[in-house]
Amino acid sequence: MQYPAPIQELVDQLSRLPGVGPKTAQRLAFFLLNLPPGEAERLATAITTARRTIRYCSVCFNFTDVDPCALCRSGQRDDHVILVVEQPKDVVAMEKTREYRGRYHVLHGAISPMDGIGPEDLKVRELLKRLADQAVNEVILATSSSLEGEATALYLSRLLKPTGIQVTRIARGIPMGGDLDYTDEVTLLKALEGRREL
Amino acid sequence: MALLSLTARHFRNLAAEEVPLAPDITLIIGPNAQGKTNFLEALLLLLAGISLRGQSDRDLVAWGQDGYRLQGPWMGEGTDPVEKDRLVTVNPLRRRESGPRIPAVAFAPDDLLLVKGSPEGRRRFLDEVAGQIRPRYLPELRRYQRALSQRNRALKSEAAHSVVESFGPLLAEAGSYVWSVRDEVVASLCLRLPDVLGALAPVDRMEITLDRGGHAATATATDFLGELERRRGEERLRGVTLTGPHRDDLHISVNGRAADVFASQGQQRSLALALKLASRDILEEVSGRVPVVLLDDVFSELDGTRRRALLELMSRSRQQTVVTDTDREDIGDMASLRYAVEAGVLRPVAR
Ligand SMILES: [Zn+2]
Repeated sequence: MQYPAPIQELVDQLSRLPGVGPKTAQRLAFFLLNLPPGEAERLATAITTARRTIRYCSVCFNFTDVDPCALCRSGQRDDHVILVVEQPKDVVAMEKTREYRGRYHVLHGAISPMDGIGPEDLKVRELLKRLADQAVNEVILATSSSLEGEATALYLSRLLKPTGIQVTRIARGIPMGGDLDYTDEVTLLKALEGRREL
Repeated sequence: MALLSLTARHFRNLAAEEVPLAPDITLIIGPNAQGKTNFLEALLLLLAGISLRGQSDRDLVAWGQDGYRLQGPWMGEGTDPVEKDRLVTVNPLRRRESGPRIPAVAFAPDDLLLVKGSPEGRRRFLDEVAGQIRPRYLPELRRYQRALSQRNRALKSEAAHSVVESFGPLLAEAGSYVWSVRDEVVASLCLRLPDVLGALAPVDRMEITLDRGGHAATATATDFLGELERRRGEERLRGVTLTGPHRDDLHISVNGRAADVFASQGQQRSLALALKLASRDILEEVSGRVPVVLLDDVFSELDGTRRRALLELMSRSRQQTVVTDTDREDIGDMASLRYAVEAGVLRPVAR
């Protein structure tokens, strides 16, 4: 059976979301169609507003609505340490530890030849520029423990070797293949403490 | 010790109904492509976390569904039943399993081609045993295969050499673990083969060795990496990784000669059966549990002697056994529960 075109379009768009299969997309579509009109519109507005106002911070490339972002502008943070993560969500997870006082750099992905993602598709050049422009003592590689996260860490450690800057990798307190934001704060803190030189 | 029933949801063509199982022998009869093999596959996954013929979880989900679920109560030795549960979602791929790992051995007609067939079939055989004796093995193997795909893709594309190099240590780390466990499995099989073979084909002396893929001197990550370094130019040229477990083979010889070339078809089937029987013994010894035996349509493929050997295996230690066949009178008498399968639905049939 075919749905009317607007419903089919909604189902198709929803099924493009990560973690949403065809069945879930249908369920979500009918949930949205049964909402009071005001609520459905609020969701639509939230999506378009976020999409319009949020951009990358020109320093750390985290999502922000002001540039540079609050973390980059804060006078309370240590400029000499940069923690490198794959995704903006990883910054949120690390901030929950309330222990890390340095700066961040968001790569927006990990090296994955199968998906056609190389270093040039990540914010790597921007990281090198940051390191050239300011005095940094330590770069902490906090990419995920997925295969691609590990490969990205190895890639960066080799790339940064000539700079003489100390490069460390957070320890594996994190389950194999696990994402940073699924890991509780204590585990993350342990991982941060146990970082080692690569 | 037995799985009391199986309920499969959204798994291949199987209907979502609880199917009670006998503690000894359950027989499932039906024409091909009705769901017999799917039922055994579901059992093997739920019990041991192993898939038949190396199928990926993605391919097992019923059409148009987001995942599948297998459940059944496991009755251990003198305890209350424990619920075994395997839940898989495919977008993204996630697996959740609960309950004890139960060793299981599956026999299918393809297994009789173990000696004659492709190296891939022999690697799969090793993986089935390795995955059950070392819980870390299958996750490491998956990680290895992912590292291999990534590295091969990087070799084929114009990706910077440094990207290829970044996957090397990860490949070597997972690959050397895979090698070490495969070595262990081969050594254990060697110890048990003489006994098992004695019952099947008393005259033959059988030897097996693991031929490691590539020329690494040892199974260590260091030698693995050294080989990657040494064959760098060749790999670039050919666009594939030339060293590693993905090129392993199990070399089988009988009376000092390569079995795939020099053994008769009957001998080859005996050797294949012997390997399977030896693997069953290893699983029992390592886990302390008698493996569940799953026989998928193998009786028609065997002659009298080998059928008797298999029947003897089935009755030994009275372990739980599930047998499928297109039509078989002689096993019918041994089975406590009988089903007919049609379009994924199992219906009990009277004796
Ligand atoms: Zn920033």
